[in-house]
Amino acid sequence: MLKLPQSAYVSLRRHGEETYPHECCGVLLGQIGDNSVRTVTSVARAGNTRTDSAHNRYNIDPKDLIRIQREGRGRGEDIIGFYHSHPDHPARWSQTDLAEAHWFGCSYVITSVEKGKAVLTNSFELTGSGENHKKLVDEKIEVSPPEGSPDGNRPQKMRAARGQPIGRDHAAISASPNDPAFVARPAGKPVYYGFQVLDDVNVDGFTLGKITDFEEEPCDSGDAFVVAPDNSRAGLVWEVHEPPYFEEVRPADPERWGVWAVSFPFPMTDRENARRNLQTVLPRLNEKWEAWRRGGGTKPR
Amino acid sequence: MPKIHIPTPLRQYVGKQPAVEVKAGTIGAALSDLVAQHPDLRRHLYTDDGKLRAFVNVYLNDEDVRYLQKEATAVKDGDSISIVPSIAGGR
Ligand SMILES: [Zn+2]
Repeated sequence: MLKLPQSAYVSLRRHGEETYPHECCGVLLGQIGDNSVRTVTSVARAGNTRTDSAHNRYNIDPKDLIRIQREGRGRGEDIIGFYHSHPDHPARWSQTDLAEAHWFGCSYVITSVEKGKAVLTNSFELTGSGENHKKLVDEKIEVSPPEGSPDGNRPQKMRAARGQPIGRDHAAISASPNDPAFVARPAGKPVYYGFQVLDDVNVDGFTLGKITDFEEEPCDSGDAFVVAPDNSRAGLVWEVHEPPYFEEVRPADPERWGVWAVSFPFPMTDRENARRNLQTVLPRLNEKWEAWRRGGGTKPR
Repeated sequence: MPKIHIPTPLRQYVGKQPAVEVKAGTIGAALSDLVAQHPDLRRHLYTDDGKLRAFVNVYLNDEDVRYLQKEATAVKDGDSISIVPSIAGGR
């Protein structure tokens, strides 16, 4: 597993956007703990020496690497991995990547950059007993939130079960003075009342609402809901993932037209990407909404 | 004595040390002393026919020994030798 501070994650993805349509590359510094958990404490950008073929090859000058290694040593950091980008190409390792990987027990992070925008970031550990027996193995990336909120006076954020901040609608009126509106929903209010509806994240009359607050803390998965043109609602359990999927978590009932597990192709970094993601899953959602509206015993009242 | 800095993936073969001191007057002798002290390291640095693997860069302080006198490059006390496997790839 690779643990990255959010600043490092943002920095290496941005690096790929800056060098597009060329590949970027850089070094991950930090510590390798027991059971091969690699914890990044800083990221060093490197130049790509493959100016002859920079759109599909990268190479870090060993001289740069020695300098980066020496500077890291001064801070008690070791080289624990590397990153590079794949301009207009998926975030999967290639045969060239494997053949040229020699740092066993280190992480190789790859970000796909499509039309100048960073899309997916995946990490692979180089494992094996030597050059004749080596593999790049998928590993989990854990992005940790920034240390110390810039606004220290803000009341502590409410967090969802998986530790993400909640996208509260602060204008919602609660039925209980001690609980937020989404816990104590007043009679007559729709499901997901109390969570923020993002009026500008709208495609063909369908609007996205956020349950976990991806704007507060970028993440690869979360909870959301969709408000249909008739104001009826469905739940979404989303994940930034390739290849795409669309699965039922909870069937439709009179109150909502189901809860759906969906994959999003674009990182949930801002509302424009959220809108593109909604657009991608909308054909399937629209089908579910239409089916619910037609009845099938689940239409309200 | 000159010191050889060991990259993270090879430290498991040298008792997890980040650097190893060697007794040597040249780069070639320094590497020989290193693998003599830590025989498990040999196959990771050399091919079966005894050549330094192509992706293994050896630096004396900040210079690539390929651009100095290669294995015959002189080393002295306090020199810092780095073994740096290459970092490259592409889609
Ligand atoms: Zn690659």
